[in-house]
Amino acid sequence: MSKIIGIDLGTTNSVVSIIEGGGPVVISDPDGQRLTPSVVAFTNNSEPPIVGHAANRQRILNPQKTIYSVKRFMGRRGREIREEDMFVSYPLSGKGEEPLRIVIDDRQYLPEEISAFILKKLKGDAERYLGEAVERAVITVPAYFNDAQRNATKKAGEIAGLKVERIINEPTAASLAYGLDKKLNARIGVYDLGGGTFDISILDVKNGIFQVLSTCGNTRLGGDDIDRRLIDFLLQKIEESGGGDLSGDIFALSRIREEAEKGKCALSFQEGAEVSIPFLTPSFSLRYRLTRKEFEVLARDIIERTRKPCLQAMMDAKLTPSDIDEVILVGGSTRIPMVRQLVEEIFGKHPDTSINPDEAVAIGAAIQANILSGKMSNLLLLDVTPLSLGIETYGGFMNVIIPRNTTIPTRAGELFTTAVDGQQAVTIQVLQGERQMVADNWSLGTFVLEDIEPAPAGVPRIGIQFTIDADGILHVLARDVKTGKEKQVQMKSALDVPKEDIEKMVKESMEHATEDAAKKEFFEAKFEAEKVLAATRKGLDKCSHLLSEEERRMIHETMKDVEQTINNHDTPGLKEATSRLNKATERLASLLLEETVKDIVEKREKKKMS
Amino acid sequence: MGHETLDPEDKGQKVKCLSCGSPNEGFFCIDCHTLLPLTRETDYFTLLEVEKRPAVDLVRLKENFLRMSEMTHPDKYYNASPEVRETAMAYSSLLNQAYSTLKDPKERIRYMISLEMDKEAPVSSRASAETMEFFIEASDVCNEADTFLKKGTIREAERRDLGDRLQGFKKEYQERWGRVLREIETSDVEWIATSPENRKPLIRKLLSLSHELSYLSKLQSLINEMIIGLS
Repeated sequence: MSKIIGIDLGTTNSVVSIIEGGGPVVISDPDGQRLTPSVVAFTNNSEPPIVGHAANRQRILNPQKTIYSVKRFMGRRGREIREEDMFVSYPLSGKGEEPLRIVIDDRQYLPEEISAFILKKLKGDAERYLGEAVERAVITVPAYFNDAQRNATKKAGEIAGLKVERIINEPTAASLAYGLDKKLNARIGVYDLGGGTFDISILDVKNGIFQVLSTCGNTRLGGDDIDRRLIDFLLQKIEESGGGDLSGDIFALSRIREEAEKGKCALSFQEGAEVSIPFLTPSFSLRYRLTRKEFEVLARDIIERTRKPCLQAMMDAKLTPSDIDEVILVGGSTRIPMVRQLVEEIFGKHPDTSINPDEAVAIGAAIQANILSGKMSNLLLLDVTPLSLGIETYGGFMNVIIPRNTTIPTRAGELFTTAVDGQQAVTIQVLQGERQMVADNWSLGTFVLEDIEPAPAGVPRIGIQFTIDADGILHVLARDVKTGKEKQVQMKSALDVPKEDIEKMVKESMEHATEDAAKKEFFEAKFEAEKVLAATRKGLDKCSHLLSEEERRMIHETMKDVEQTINNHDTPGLKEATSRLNKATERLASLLLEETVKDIVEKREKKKMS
Repeated sequence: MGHETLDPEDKGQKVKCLSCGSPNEGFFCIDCHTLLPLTRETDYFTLLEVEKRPAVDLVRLKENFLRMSEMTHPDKYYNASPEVRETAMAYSSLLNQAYSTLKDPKERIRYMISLEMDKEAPVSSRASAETMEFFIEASDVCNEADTFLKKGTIREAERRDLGDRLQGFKKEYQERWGRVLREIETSDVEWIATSPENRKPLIRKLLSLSHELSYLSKLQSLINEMIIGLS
C-alpha cells in the first residue's frame, strides 16, 4: 500500500507532512520552503497555473489572475458570501443559489478546482521527497466547516488525483501533534486562528484517546480580516497625505495588501513597523510608521469576535475555565500578542505556545494517516459534528435530528409519512445550524422519496437513516418500512453538480439551442396544463354536485382537448386548450375554495371543543 | 430516534465471523479477534455494561465507553474488508448513541422507561408548577436580553443589570438541577428495592423528574446564549 500524506489545506498557507521512522516530517519544496502559500496564478490559458511562492510573487503584477484565499469560497453559494468577502482582486461569478466560481478569461473554475491545483503541487513535493508516487492523503478542514464545505474539500482532493482517506478537523489534528510525544492526560483547549477561519475545540485526552467534548467557531474570521482592516486604514492615510483615492486600483491594492501583511507580522515581535511602498502611483510613495497600539485599535473587534465561540464551547462541554488544564495555540494569527492576551483573559491561564502554529495541523494529519495505516494503534481520535443536523418541518422550523457535538460516526433514524391521500413522493430539506428557523440555517440540499405506494395520508412509513461518517460527512438511506426495500438517497444541491455534467450541459445547450427552446416551451406548457388538470380533477371530486349538467359537460370536453394536445406535442394548441380549461373552471375553482374554507373552520371548531 | 431492543430469542445465537468463519458469541471473534457482525440487538445499558437503573455510575460509564470505542472505532478497522468496516461503523454509531443517551439523566430515564414499557415514553409537557413559574420568569428576562441584543445598542448599565439577573437565574437553575438529580438518586434506591410489578408510581415520578430536567435544560441553553451574547 502506498504511503498516506497529511495535508493542511490552509486559507493563506498549506503544509504537507508525513510520519517517517515514528516521527513527523514536514516536507519542504525544492527551494527548502516548508510553507506553501495557497496561491494559484494563471499565466496564460494553455499552461497549467503556477502555485505557491512563485504564484505569490505574481500577485502584485497580475492580480486579476492570481487566486488567493479560495478556501473562503469552498462549498458556498453566491448568496452566502458577504460583500466584503467578495472584495478580492480576481473576478467571481455565481449569484443566489449558484456555487461561487472564479473567472479566468473565458473559463470558470469552482473553488475546489483551484484548491486541487494547490493539492497537486503538495502531492508533487511529497513525491519528490519520498521518491515514489503518492495517491492517498488525509486533508484537514476547519472544525466548524459544514457538510458542503467538507464535500468540496474531498472533491478538491479527488480532482488532484488523491484518494482522500480522511477529512480531519484542524484543531483536533493539532491536538494529536501536541500530544504525540507526551504521555498526555489532560483537558485541553485548542484555539486555532488562521488566515480565514477560527475554531475552538475542547478535548479530554487520556491514555492515547483524544476525545473531543465540544467545538465551536467561525468560518469567516481570520488574519485576512485583519489585513483588510489594515488596508482600509492605509488607504485612508494615503488619501490624507495626498496620494488620492486608490480603493478602486487593483494594482495599488495588491501592493498595499502585501505591505500591510508584512507590517502585521512584524508587529507581533516589535512595537512599530515601517510601511513603505515606493511609487504607489507615479507621483506618490507611501511611508508610514505603524505602531502596535494603532494596530490593536484596528484589530481589536475582529480578535474580540473569537471570545463568544470560546465561551460557547466551554458551556457545551459543561466546563468552566478552571476545568481546562492547557490551552494550545494554533494558526499564524495566534502570534499576535493581543490574541494571546485575549486567550489568557478568557481561559485564565497562559496559553501553551510550544508547538509550531503553522505546522501542527499538517503534522496531526500525518499522524491520523499513520493511525489509519494501523501503525499507531495506541492512539484514537473521537471527534464530534460541529453543527446540529436537522430537517425542515411545518411552519419553517428546523427539527434537530443529530445535535451538535455528537460524537461521530453517528446514526439517527426518523420516520416520514405522507400529508395528502395518494401522495407518491415526499420532498425533504436537510439543514445544518443552530437556529430555530429554516431560513437562518444552511440548507444542505433536498432529497425526494419517490415511488411511495398510493395510500391514504399518514399511512406510508418511510424510515430515513442519517449517518454522519468519521469525515463528518452526511449520508442518507431511505427504507420502506413495509417492503423493507433500502435505497441510498441522493441529495440535490446546487453545489454538487459534477464538473463533466456542467461542461456537457453547456456544450449541449449550444448545439441544440433551437431545439431546446422549442422543447422547453412545450414542457412549460405541459407542466402548466397538468397543474390545471390536477386542480380540475380535485375540484370535480369535491364539488361536482354543485355544478350544472352543462358546466360539467364543458369541463370534461375541455379536459379531453388538453390531454389530446399533450399527446400530440402540439404546443400552441396546448396553450390555447389550457386557457380554455382555466376559463371553464372559474366557477368550479371558487366553489372549491368555499368548500375548503368551510372545512378549515369546521376543523378549528372541532379542535376547540375537544 | 428508535432504540435497539433486547430480543431474548436472539440471545446465545452463534454468529459467523466475517474474517475467519468461526462460529461465535459476543462482540469479538475468539479466534481472530475481528469484530463480529451486529446481529443481536442489545439495549444501551447492556452494551455499555452498566446496570439498568435510574442513576448510573458516570465514571464507569465513560470508562466503558472509551474502552469499547477503542475496540470498535472504524479507524481500527480501516484496512479490513468492507463488511468488517461497515460493522465497525454500526457498532461505533450505536455506542455513541448509547453513551450520549445514558450520560444525560433526562434522556437516560426516558430511555429506561421506554424499555420498561416496551415503547416510547409518553411525551408530556407538564412540569411542576414551581418549575414552570421559574421557567416563565427566566424566559422573560432572556427575551428582554434578546431584544436588547437585536437592537445592537445597549447601555453599559443595562448590560450589567441584565447580566447580573441572568447570572442569578443561572445560579438558581443550577440549584434546581442539583435538587432534581438528588431526587433521581432517591428514586434509584427505591427502584432497586421495589419489585418490577410495583414500579408504576415510581415510573410516573421519574417521568415527571425527567420533564423537570427537560425544562431546565432548555432554560439553560437560553440563559447561556444570552450570557454569551451580553459578554
